[in-house]
Amino acid sequence: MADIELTPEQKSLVLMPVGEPRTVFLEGPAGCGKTTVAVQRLLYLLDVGVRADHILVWVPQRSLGWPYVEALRRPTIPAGARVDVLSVDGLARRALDLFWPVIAERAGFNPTQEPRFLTLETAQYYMDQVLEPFIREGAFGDVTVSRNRLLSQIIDNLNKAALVGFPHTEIGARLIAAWNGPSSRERVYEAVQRAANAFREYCLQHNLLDFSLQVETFIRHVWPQSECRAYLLRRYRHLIADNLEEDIPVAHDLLREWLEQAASALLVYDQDGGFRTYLGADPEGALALGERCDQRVILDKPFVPSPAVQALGNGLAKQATGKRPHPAEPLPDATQLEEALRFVEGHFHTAMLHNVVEEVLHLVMDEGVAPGQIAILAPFVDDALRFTLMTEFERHGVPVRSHRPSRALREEPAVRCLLTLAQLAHPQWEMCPPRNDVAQALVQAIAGLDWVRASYLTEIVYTTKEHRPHLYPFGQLQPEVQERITFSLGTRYGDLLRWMEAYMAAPPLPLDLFFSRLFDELLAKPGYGFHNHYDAAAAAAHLIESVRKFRWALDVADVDELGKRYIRMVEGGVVAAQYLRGWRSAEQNAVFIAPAYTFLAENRPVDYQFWLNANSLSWGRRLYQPLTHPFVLTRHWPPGRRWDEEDEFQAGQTMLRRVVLGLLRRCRVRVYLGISELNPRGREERGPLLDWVQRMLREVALTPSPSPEDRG
Amino acid sequence: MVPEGFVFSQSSLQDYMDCPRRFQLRYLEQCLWPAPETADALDFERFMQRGQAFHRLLRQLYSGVPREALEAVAMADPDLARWWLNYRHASPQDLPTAVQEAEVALSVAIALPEQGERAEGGDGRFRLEARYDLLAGEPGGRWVIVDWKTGQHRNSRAWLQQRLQTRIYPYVLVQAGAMFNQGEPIAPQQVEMLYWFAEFPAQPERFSYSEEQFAADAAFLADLVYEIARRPEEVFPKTEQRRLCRYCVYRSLCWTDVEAGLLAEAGEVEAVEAALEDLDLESIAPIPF
Amino acid sequence: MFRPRRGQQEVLAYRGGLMGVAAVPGSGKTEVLSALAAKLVATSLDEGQEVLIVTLVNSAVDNFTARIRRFLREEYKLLPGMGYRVRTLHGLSHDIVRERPGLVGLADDFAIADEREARGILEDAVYSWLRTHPDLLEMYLSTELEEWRVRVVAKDWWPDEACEVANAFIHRAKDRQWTPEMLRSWLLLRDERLPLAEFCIDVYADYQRSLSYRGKVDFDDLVAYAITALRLDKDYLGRLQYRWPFILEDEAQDSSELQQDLLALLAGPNGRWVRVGDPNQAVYYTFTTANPRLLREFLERPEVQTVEMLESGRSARPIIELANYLLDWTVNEHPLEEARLAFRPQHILPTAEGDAQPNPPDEECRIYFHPGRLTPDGEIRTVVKSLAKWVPAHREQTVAVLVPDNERGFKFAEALRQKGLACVELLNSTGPTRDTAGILEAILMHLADPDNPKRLGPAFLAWHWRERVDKERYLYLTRLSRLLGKCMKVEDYLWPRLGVDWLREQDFSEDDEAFALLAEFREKAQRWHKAAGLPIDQLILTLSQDLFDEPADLARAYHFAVVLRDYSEANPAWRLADLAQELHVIARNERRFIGLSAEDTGFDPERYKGQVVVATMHRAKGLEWDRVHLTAVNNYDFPSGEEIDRYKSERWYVRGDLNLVAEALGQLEALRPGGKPYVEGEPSRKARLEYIRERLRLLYVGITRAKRELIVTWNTGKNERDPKTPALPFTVLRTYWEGTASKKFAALSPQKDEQKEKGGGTHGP
Repeated sequence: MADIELTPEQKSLVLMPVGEPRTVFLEGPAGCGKTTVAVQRLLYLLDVGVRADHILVWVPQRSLGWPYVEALRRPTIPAGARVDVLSVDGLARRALDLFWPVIAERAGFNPTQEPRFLTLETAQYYMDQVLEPFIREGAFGDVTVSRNRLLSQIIDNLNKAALVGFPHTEIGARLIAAWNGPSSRERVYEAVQRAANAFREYCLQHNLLDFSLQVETFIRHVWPQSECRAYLLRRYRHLIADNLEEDIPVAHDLLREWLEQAASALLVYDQDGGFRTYLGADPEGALALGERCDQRVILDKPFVPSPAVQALGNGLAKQATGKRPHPAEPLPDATQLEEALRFVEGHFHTAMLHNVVEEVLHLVMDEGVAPGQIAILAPFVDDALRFTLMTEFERHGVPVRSHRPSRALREEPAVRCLLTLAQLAHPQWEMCPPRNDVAQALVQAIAGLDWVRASYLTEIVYTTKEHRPHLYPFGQLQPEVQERITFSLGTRYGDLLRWMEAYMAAPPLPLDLFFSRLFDELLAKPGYGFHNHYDAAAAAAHLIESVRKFRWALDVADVDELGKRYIRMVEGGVVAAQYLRGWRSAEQNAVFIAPAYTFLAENRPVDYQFWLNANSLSWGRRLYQPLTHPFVLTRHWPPGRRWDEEDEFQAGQTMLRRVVLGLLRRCRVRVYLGISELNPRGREERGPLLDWVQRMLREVALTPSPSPEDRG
Repeated sequence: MVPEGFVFSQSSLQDYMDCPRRFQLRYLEQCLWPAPETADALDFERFMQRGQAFHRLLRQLYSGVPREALEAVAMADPDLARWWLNYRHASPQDLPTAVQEAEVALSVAIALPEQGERAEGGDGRFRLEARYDLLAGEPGGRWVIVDWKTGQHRNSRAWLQQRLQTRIYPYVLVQAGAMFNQGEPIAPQQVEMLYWFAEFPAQPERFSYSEEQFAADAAFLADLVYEIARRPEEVFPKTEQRRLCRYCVYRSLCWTDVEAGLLAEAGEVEAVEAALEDLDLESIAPIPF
Repeated sequence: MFRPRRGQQEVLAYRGGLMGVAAVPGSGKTEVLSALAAKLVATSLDEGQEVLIVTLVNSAVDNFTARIRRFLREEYKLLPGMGYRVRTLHGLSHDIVRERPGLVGLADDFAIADEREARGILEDAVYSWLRTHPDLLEMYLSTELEEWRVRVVAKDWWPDEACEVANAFIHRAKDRQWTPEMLRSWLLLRDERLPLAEFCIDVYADYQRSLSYRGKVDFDDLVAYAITALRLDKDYLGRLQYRWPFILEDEAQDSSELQQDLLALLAGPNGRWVRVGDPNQAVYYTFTTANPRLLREFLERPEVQTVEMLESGRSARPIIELANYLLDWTVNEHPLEEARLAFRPQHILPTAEGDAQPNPPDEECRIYFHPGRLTPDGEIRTVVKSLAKWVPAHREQTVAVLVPDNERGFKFAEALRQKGLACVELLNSTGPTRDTAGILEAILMHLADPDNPKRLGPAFLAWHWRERVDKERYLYLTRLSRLLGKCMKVEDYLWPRLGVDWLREQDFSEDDEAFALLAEFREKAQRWHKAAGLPIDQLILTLSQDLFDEPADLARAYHFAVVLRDYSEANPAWRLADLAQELHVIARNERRFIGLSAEDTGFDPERYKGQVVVATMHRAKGLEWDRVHLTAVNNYDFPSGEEIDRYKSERWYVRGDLNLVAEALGQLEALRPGGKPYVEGEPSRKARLEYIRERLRLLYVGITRAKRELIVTWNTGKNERDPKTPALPFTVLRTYWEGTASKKFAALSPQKDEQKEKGGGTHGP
């Protein structure tokens, strides 16, 4: 633990004797070294002989546990057991796995059958089934929202109830009480409630645990059970909880009780954090934990931002109505602004992006800035944005990485290929893929087959008879047709067809096994598209994983039915077959392109930040979801109060303030604002961020520059 | 290149011993290659699930879940019921009772041989981890490492003897077990490795451990890790034993003519044996919503 | 420096309250409104406030923005770009709804169904209704039809007409903010049957349901939602009222009730709201919800300060005289009593001495009414012939041919080009947006159907789109593209193998460049083929990297990528060809918002000197040319309520000359509790009158486009068995011109050669 320089203040925190004081609450703004202290404290505990498996590092989400996981991998860590780094849902999952036979019956499940944990996909699938009758009766008629959003918002409501800790049967009533609009919406909220009830009912009957049930069952049935609680308290005697402000109310409840029993606890709280409020984060509840601790320590000397960037943060944060900066904090003067803030403009959005790329190239090539010290951030990063920037940087040889939480499998050509071949190999499903898809599948499947020949071949060999797809063998084609395709490609096509015919002659397999065998026995062989093609294989592997989870969650005996349903679900967009990409493995010294919130969640400061689409309304604004409400479905919303315009406005200001401060505290040198007169859709947009900047600029222009000695 | 902070395990090292290429693909390149492990993939899946269910039952049992509650679960499935009854009637005898830890993982930094230039290359920065089904011991007394085996076959003593598991598990316990032993290191001669076969409950296999074996293992493991870390090839060599390839998902990457084997014919193939080791709750993706 | 005229000064002196400005054609209302906006920005705003300018079309948005920027920079030395917002009604509504979608039950990413999508949804609803209700047609069918004709009508005519009826009904209902549920409950209260309303209400309900399950709203909804949001949340309204303390509304004569409601809400009880318009130029189709009555009523309100801007320097005095005469005749003498209400009595006055924009001198003015009876083709020949002489002699002047509809415009354009005259179409779907879309479409269509030789040539030409301006070069490339069309085995060209290479087999012995061009295209095409399996947005971005460098093109392509991506997510079954076809729709749809479309930069006739602009009379509004040809002024396009007049909206197969659209709207209006009872036929009659009035105003617009010369022609129409006659106003104006007026301007010098060509009788002695 000698490799990091600590301030005396930090050092004294790290080296506190274990258990004296027993519980410590460490707070301060981001960038002041709190996590550093906590990581070093963990290493110290291990050093002085605390059993590793008695320590629990408690974080709101896995990415925030990364500094701990990394530290624990060092060879200098003493030999011993493993330190668990968990979020409350991870803990819930483990506890459920362990104590299922004890609590299942009381929680309303069948104890002799294993619990089936639902992924988001499978939860959406079931919700879709449950919602079908509601949609048919027009229960949500008042609200304009696509079916997928409908599903996810009702699931979200259930999750909120579980995370906040109120009965899911109160969702509708709470939403109605806060609704400030025409009464017709009440019927919709009632329908939302009925749908949530029906889904919950269905889950209980079938031993299905979606996210909300996992958390709720843990909180309501595992934790209160004395033997389970005793086990957990005995197991984890030392707690290190970081980013409490991003954690959820039931996690805080749990911690509050745990604190009473723990041999030692270090709680870390980031002032002005709380970026995950839309996911249920409860900064106020976190702060209340501070009162339960024996000692409160404040670390508020920032290490990360330069004075100019700090001043910029103050200048901007000041614009949030009702918030004033700490009086001692200096506002920026014109020189500091020049240093810390630049503008990258363009009439069109694309021109602005182009200029951003130019500026980044300038930083990297001319100023020698490490690519890893540059982050390009936007409120949302869609595929087009990501693709445009990444291709530009790759073209110039600048390493770049992007993190999106997920990517839809059905967009991968390799996956599309497999889905199409599955339909062709199962004519009994009576699903006939469009000609274009078949041709594309052949291009993907057969090495060396070009797009023109594939299309031509498809035109000749692919037919549909009585709603069933059919492929003709190559040998039956006219010689001149064969010649156009060429014999070698024709042979490969022939082998593919023979494989499928052999498959069709036997009883069908579950879809995932079909893919797996097709891959193993044909597509991965020389002459075929997946041979030595690691990316395609990885995409296929994720698809197979998705189907397998679907199969396990569904428990449908009829394999044809299973395959059909899966493909329909993917094609219908009910489920995008999304998968998490291994984003840690990506190169770290690369320009990072990400949504602002993702960057904050990574908690990794950089020298330069580019804020794209600074004129967008989306900066500091929540996603509107008509069927749920991130502020009303919390503990702090007074029952029966209506959510009005002022609340909305204040919430927006608070969020923008959090994001701006959060970003600037993770920025060492400078921020570039990317501004275009027209947004990607060709529209003019003027959001609150630009407004703040403008007001700050005016204010700075009006304030006389202080003399150097005043600045101190 | 083996990245810094890489954690070796008995299964990854065993993979390396069996086939360096497989180790490279699986652990270094983390190459996903979605072929079925065996030709009868559904049987394999069922086999895996049963195995996991049984491991879970015993984990629950040793974590204090009442026996009656588990009994009800076990009886709902014929295979599980048989194994469970086997366990009840012929569980491993004379296990120490003072400490009984189920599903515990221990890890240790891996020491490289002194002749290595570890300072300059930074090769020494790895860990070796062992995950135990059950660790039963008595501070100052005997320490038994129990491994539940749910395969159809009973592995021969000779085969088990040369498995890395039989060497690594005791080695790591000696290196890292002090925390269970009131802070004192566990001596090699206190350690015993026990394989208990669910289908053959009356015939467990036991291996004792010794100072000499420990010293030999330490040197062996250090050499092995050194070898891996220093391998110059871009593509590691493949195994000579084509039989293994029939149970390896990468078969189509290496060969054009190897087909998946049947589960029943797998015998003592590591791929099938070790699969259960991969059960890891950490690997379960968190649910975004 | 802007030197305001009398009326303009009054406008610029505006401080607060309601003001209504009645402006005549060419009186400079855009200029004065921009000047007022800039003045308010500079002098009258608090923190966080903006001047809101609402106008009709996007081209005006751009025009306003440019002028205000100029005023701010030049007159007030301020940073341009802040402190004002110029929006169309839809743009404004979008702003309002987007800020608080939750208020009206929309998701954050709600999408707008474009006209084509909305139309598709409507058609589905109508067709499925018609299948179960064959009796509706029977109720309205003319009794004299033979059996076979009835079948033809039911199959080919009736479904379209039913869609028109439902479409107009839904538009109107939305303008009134009546939901299907409200209408249904009112319907239950009534004793008599209202078959069209019953039909329309069912379709309306079905239509709304379909929209909402797609997460979409249509353009009408957008405005209605904006109003609902403001009515629901007083605080939000209050915040917007604070933000926009001044509202300046342009083209107020085309305002709909909905727009008026929205702006009235935003203006608030003590509103500061300036409405500028020309009631006599209200030409926005009878059955849109625009209503010229609204502005006239506003101008009459006692609390409204009314300003008249009557001076216009655009046209020469004789043309002004003619326009004023049309107005006077209509108001006082039109044989149809009801037609006399077409105009607000206000005369255009020439500018005063010393005005910055004096009227063109009288002696340069020529007006001619061609009395001859021309077939439609004959009319085209006559006009083109005249232009073929005129244009070479007037390279520095501007000229337009104004036509009643697009179809006619295309024919004129074709004929002009055949005569070798440069020609600009100001019709629908022109300009670079179509080009970007067209270029991408050609390549996407090739990718969708890669082995089809017919798709190869267009893709090749699209790749060389930049060279289109060079005619000769383009002809050469077209020849190459035709050669590609003959390549029956596309793969032998694009993906040659085993020594078979189509390109090498061609004989290019005398043309090395051809080989190089085709080889280069092959290389590109191979790259595109490999991208064909990418998601549509990535595919388009990949293509556009190869195709475009201009920022505007790249921006458009990016926009297409984003929107098509949405489409493909909403319609997972769509493939390349479907998506490619949507490009046009998107390009068209863009015009609703500022920014990317060609129209947005506005159309400046001055840029096309020496070329002939072919425009519909509607699109010509707001523009001016030295010479204007007004065509097709017959009694079909400009009816006057005479016995022989026929009306587009009265179908031949419908009994009793009923206009079903009008009847449906009549039934709609009758539904409201306390509404007037419905009398069949009455709405059709009123619709005729409305149409007659609107066409009179359109003629007025046409006349006032001309600065120096005006030539008016008419034709006998398509149907030879029922030839059309000159429109009544044509005859009236001609008589007036050739009689009274020419004497008044007798001092003017005659132009003999022109007179001869035309067979006599422009003006003069």
